[in-house]
Amino acid sequence: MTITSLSDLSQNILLRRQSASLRVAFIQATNQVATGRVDDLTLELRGQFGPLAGVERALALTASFLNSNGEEALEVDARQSVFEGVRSQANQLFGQFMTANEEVDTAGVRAAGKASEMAFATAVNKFNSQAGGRTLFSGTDVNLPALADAETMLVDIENEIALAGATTAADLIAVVDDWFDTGGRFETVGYIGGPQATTGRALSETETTPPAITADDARIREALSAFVLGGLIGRGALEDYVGERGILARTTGERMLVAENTMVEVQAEMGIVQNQIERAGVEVLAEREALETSRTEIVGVDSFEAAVDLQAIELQVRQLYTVTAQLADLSLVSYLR
Amino acid sequence: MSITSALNNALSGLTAASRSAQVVSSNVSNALTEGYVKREIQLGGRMIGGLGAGVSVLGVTRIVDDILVRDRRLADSDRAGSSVASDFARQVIDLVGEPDDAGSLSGLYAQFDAALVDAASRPDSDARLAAVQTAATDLANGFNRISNGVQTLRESADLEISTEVARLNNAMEEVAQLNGDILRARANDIATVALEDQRQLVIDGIADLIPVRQFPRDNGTVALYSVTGALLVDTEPATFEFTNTGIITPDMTLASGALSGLQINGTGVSVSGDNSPIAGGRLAALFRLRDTDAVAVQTDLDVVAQDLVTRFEDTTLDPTLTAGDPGLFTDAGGALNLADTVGLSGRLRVNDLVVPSEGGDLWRLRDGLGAAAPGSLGDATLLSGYSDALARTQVPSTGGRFSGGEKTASALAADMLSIFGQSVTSAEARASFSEARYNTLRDAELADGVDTDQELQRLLLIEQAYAANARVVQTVDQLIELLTRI
Repeated sequence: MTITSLSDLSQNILLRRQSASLRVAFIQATNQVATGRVDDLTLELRGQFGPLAGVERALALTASFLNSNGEEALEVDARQSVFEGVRSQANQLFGQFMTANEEVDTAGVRAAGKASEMAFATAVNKFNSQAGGRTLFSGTDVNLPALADAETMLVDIENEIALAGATTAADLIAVVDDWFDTGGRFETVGYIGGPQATTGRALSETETTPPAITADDARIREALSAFVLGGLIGRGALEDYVGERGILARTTGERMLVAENTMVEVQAEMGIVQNQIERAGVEVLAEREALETSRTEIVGVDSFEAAVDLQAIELQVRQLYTVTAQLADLSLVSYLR
Repeated sequence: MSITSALNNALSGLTAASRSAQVVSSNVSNALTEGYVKREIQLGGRMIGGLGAGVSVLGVTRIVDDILVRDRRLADSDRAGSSVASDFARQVIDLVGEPDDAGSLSGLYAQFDAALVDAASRPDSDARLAAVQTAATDLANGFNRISNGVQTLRESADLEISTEVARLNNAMEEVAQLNGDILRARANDIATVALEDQRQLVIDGIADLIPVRQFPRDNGTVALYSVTGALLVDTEPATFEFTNTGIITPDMTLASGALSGLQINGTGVSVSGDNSPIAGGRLAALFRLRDTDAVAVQTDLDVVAQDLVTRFEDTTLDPTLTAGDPGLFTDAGGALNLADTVGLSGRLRVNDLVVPSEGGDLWRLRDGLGAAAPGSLGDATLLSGYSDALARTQVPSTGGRFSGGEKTASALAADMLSIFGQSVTSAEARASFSEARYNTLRDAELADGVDTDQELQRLLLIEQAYAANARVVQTVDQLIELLTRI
């Protein structure tokens, strides 16, 4: 006869299977609550890892970009203060040269000249200064100084003047200008740094700073030449030709003004770079926040939801245990005693 | 005489009751035995000379639904096969790593990228150059590890095939032997229920490996065929042959002859495709893992490795290189050989010229691999060039499962992971479907098993019947005594 019955074994296996699957779900829910991260990411993302990989990469690069940004800011700020120092020296010397009149105030002119010589030495030291162990104005040879010793340069220039036999201010100025010109001796005797870098630093995926300015730059040469002219006066150039000295002194004063303006121009350029650095830094920080939000959206679990899920599964497990216990009692055997 | 026949009837009733009790006890004792089929006793009226003469035990039958068993076996084969595929897909994802894991392939790409930016900011810093070399080495090692992992999975599959083939051969021999035992038992009129149970269990074991069709033959024997028509057991068992290959490398395939195929009774058979004699089931799935799925994974990995190598093997990027020189990433120290890219990811190495422990110099990362001497300390040209090389989009080589558009280096790696991830999704969907189907059929089959409540109810009836028959014997005995006292 056919009587429908349910075998003990099938009931047992059914309960065991359900208990096992609930336990797996329970462990997953616990992990999600504890870590705040989706337990099975592959299933959650349905295999689409592209966006997450992009976010992770961008985040890893953010730290490097911020680091780069800091290092560039350090160097640019240092350069900016060098230019400021040179500019203010030029400004001061301009004043000194303009008020001193050679015919009336030989001592004043000589004093201005000596001040120029010292200013030249200071400027050379400034252009050889380092930030973070790297020379600021020597291009890619960051371990070498940018300019030769001030005295060396002045001696070489004086030699050139003597060789040219310059006796007028105009001739002397021409020698000095030649010395500092493109192709002149400055490039071998004066500038001992390396070539200009091909690129600045990467501030973000899209922004790079311009290559750093070197002491080889025409504008710096212009400023240095003004100091050199003043320095030569201080070292006694054209002493025997009082009239020429006067002309030289006046020209030097004019050149100091030009030097100051040139420095202002370079400072403006540095200022633009400083702005770029700051703006890029802010952008990268904002991007980092956005990326972290994206990442949380992709892999994170809402902690409230996760806790609710965990509770629901726990309840289910308890219910299953109750049912299992009660079914165990429901056997004819216990009633046939 | 009617009184004697009454006695005989009662005695036959007692026998029937005892035999019933025996069946009930057998059922109850095996209530929790998997593979035990519930027995039922068949009782019929005994006829002697055309007249009824008590009860006779016609036999003990196994309560089994053959259709259900057949379907459950097919579902079992399907489940076994799809679980192999889904497990493999998962293991591949585990090898590559998910992107938010720093040790994953995507994570290693990102760290290499970041190290390059750091070094370009201060090319004079040895520490930063060392970080670049370490990150590059980690990336190359990552590729090596994944490639080795994939080949290890192939080796495990190969080993498992050889173990399972041995098990299959044993099982088929057992079935043939049980066939013989059942035949002999029938001839001697001995109950064959236990033997049939055993045979069913053994065939269940075979069904796990190959989907089977069972055909009843004369005298209780069965013939076993695979669903696609290969003979497993008829009068004689078939013999499967397979040779295990110890170490497997990416260039070894079934087609190249380096890996063993399957032979049935000495004839080679195809192991892939829907018409293969072993199609469906665990055995075919293992072959597919070894010969198709793992090979596809390895190819994808090699395409990504090749993409990485070509980005750096560029004389416009590094002018100190001459054409034909290996770049930053090498194929076991040499340049990329387009004719031999199989297994490239396992051979990927950072160029020794930049590895101090291999006699190289860190400054070559900055100044070029072919540079004779260190150059300007602050020159970041090459290092930022390397960054650009990674960020540039290029078309990957053909052969993998990529869509063929232009991609950056890390996007290609992420694409590869996504391809693997989608394999997981589809394999797991398939596996959970076949698991659910199997469970449903198994539950239905088990429902026909031993229910102790029902058996105990039956026992109550048997008790009653035995008592009644004993009472009849007692009464007849009294009747006979009455007669003898006359």
